[in-house]
Amino acid sequence: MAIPLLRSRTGCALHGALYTAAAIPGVVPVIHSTTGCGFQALQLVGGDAAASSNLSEKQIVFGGTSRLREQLKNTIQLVEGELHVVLSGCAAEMIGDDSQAMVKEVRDQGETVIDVGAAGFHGSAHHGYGLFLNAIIARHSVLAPRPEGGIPGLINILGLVPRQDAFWLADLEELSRMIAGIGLHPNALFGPDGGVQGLRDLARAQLTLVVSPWGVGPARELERQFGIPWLETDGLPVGADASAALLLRLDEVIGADLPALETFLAAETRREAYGLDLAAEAFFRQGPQPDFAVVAGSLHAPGLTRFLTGTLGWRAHAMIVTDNPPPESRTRLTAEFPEIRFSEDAGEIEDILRDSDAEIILGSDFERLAAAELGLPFVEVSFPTRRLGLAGGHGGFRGGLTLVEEIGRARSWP
Amino acid sequence: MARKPQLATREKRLNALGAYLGEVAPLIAELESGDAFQRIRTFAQTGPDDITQALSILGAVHGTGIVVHGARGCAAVLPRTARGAWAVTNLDQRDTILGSDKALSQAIRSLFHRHRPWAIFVVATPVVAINNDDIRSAAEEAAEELKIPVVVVRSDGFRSRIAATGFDAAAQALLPLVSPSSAGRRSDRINLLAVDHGPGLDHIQTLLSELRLEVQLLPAEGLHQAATASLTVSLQPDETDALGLGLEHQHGVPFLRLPPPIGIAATHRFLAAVARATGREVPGDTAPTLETLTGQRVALAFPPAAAFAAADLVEELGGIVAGVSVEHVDSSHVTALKDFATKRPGLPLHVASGQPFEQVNRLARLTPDLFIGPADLALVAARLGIPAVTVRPDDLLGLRGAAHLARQTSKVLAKPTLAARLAKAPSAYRPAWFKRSPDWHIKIEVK
Repeated sequence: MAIPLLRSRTGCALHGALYTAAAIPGVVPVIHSTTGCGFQALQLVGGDAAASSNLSEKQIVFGGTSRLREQLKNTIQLVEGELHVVLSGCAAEMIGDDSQAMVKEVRDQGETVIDVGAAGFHGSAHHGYGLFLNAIIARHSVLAPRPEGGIPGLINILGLVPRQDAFWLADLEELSRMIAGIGLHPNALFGPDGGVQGLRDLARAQLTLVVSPWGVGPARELERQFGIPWLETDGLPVGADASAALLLRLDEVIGADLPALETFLAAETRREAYGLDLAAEAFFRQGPQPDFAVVAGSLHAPGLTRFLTGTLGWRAHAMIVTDNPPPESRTRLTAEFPEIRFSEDAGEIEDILRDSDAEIILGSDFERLAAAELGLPFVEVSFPTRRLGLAGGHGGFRGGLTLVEEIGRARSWP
Repeated sequence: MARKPQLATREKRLNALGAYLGEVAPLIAELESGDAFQRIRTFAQTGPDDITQALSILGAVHGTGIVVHGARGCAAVLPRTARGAWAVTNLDQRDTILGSDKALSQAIRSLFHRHRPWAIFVVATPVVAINNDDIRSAAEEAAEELKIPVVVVRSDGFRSRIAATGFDAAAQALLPLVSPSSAGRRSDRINLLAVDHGPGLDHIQTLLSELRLEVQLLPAEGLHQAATASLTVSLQPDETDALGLGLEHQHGVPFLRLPPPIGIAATHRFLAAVARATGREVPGDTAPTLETLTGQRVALAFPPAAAFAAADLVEELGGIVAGVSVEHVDSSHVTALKDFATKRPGLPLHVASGQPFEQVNRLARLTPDLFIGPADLALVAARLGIPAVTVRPDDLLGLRGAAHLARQTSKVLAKPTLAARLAKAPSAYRPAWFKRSPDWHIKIEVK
C-alpha cells in the first residue's frame, strides 16, 4: 500500500523522466497523459511546456493511441530535436494504451523515437530518472557502437537527477571539471555540455561513475549489456578530502596512472586550505562549533555530513535522508552514519528536527520554517529550494568552500 | 447507493472554448447560440487542468487542509502555491489495481492530527477517477470520526478540456462550509472574492473600506459567515464566479457580476457599482495621467476577464492593443467580447491556455513592441526579442495597478536588453512551423 506523505518534496516518476529527458539538448519529450501531468512537473521546478497528448475523456474511454500517433507525428514536424521520447503517464498506462506499438510504427518510418513507461505511480522523480536511462540503454539502435574496451578515459556520470536534485547543474559541472582536470573525459549527458551524442556515447565509456543510488540501475544495465565497469560513491563528494579520494579511486580503477592527477589534486587542495584559513577567524568569532542537522537526499546528505564532521569537526545531531533510497544503499549508509534516519514525510522530519538539539539546520526550503521557529541558523542545501542552482553547488572541491561561505553568512555575527 | 453529485464542466455550464483564433463576432454568435463548436488541438503542450486550478483555490483557504488522492506528482504544484497543510496519498501501482481507500483514510487522519485543520478537502485525480474508487465513503467516515467537514472535490484531470472547471469544482467543495445566516444579512458587509493575495487586493480592500464597507475576503478568510453579507463581488470572475453564484442561490446573497477593477475607468465603475448596490454615495473619480505606452503596440495574455480589462488599461496608458490571448472563453464573457469587438473592430482573439507553440508563431507575426502576460509566455516573447513584462492580474488592480503597469512597462521598454540577449538562442521550433498559421493545429472536434 502507498505510504501517504505530508508535503512530498519530489515529483513523480513521470516528472523525473521528463526532467531527465528535457535536460539533454536535442531530446524532445512527448508526454502521453492528461493535460496537467507535465504542467505540475514544471510548476515544481520551472521549465518549458512539453509536447503532450493531453488525454481527454473520450480517449480515456476509447483509448488514446491514435491521439498519440497524431501528437507524435506533429511533434516531429514542429519541434526541433534529434531524439523523441514518449513518456507514458498514469492515465495512459491504466487504460492500457499500447504506446510501444505506436512508437514502433513511427520508428519503422525511420524516425528516432523511444518509449518510456513512466507512470507517476511507479515512484518518485528519482525512479523516473532510472526509467528514462534504462529505456535508452535498452534501445541499442540509439547507442553508438562500442569499441573494444570503450573510449579510453570516457567516464559516464550518473546519479544526479536534473531539476529534482538541488544544484544538479552546478554539481554536475564541478564533477566534470574534476574529471577533466585529471585528464579524463566526462560524459555529462545533461546541460550545456550534454546532448544526444552523450546518450549515444553511454555505451562507449570506459567507466561509469555513480554518485547516488539512483544511477545504480542504469550503471548495472550498462555493465550487463556492454561490460562497462562502474564505480559507486555513496553521495557526492563535498570538499577537498572526499574529492581527492574519489579522483584517486577513479585513477586506480581506470589503471591509467594519470600524469595530471598529482598537480591537480595539489592545486585544488591548496585552494581549499587557503579558503579555510581565511574563513577560520570568522568561524572562531561566531562561537564554538555547532551541532548540526542535515536534511537532504542520498546524493547530498552523506557528503555534507562527511565534510562537516571530517573537515570542520562538527557533530551530526540529525541526518535525515529524504529520497527513500533502496535497501543496499540504506544498509551501507546506516553502517557509516549511526545517527541516520530515512523519511520523506515533512511532519516526521519536523519532529526529528525539534527533538534533535541541533544548533544549525541544513535542509530544503521546507525546513526553513522549522529553523526559524527553533531560532536556528539555516543553510539551504536540498530540494525544494529557492535557488536556481546555476552556480554555487556544494559538491566537489569547490563545494566545500561554498558551504563554508554559506554557513558563515547564516550564523550570527557578534 | 446515492448517485455521486455531478459537476457540470465549463463546456456544459457556459459553452466554454479552449482553442480559437479569429474574429470576435462569429465567436460571440457561437457563444450566444448555446452550442459552440468544440475545438481540439492536433498538437498540444502541457497546461493547467481542473486539478491544478482547484488546488489554486483550495490552497488559499486559511486553516484548512488538502489531501491530494493520487500519485505524488499530482500534488507537485503545492510546494510552491499552498499556504496551508497538505498531504498526498502517494499511490503506487498496487493501489491502482487493488484500491486505495486505506491510504486515503490514513492521509486524512495524519493531516488532521498534525495540523488540526477546520476542514479537509480530498482532491481526486486521474488514477482514482479511472478506477472509480469510492472516496466518498472514506471521507464521510473520517468526517464522522474527526468531527470536521471532509469534502470530496470532483476533479479528475480529463473530463473537461477547460481548466477553469476546476475553479467550479473547488466552489462546489467550499459552498457546504458556509453556515446559513440566522441573523440575516448585514448591510455594511460584503464578500470580496479573490484568489491571489497581493498589493492589488490590499489596495481594493482599502478603497472599499473608504465606502464604509466591511470586507470579507473569500475564500481565504470569511467562508463561515459568507451568508451574513449583503452583497458579493469578485476581483477574479473567471476563478470565482461559481462561488459567487452558489452564495446567491444557496444563501440569497446577491452576486453583482462586474468586470474586474483593472484600469482607471473600470476601477471607478467597479466602486460606483458597489456603492450603488450597497446604498453608499458614489465616490468621485480622479484620473491620473499616465501615458507611458503612447504609440506602443502591445500584446497581452491573461485569464479572460483580466485580459479584456487589461486591454482597456493599455489604451488608457496610450498604447495600442496589437493582440490578446486568453486562457478560455465562455458565455459569461459575451458582454466583454461585444465591448472588445466594438472598441477594436477586426482585431482577432486568441484562445489558448499556455500552448507556447501557438504563442510564438502568433507573436512572431504580430511583432508587438511589448508583451504583457504570465512568466512562461513572457519568456516566449522575450526569446523573439520582444520586450516582455510579467504582471500578475493582482498587480493590475485599481489605480495602483495602472501606476504599477505604467512604471514596469516604461522600465522594460527603456532597457530591453535581456530580450535581445535571449533572442540570440536558436528557436525550439522548426522553421516550417513559422510558415503555417498559428491556428494550424486547431480543428473542430468531430463528434
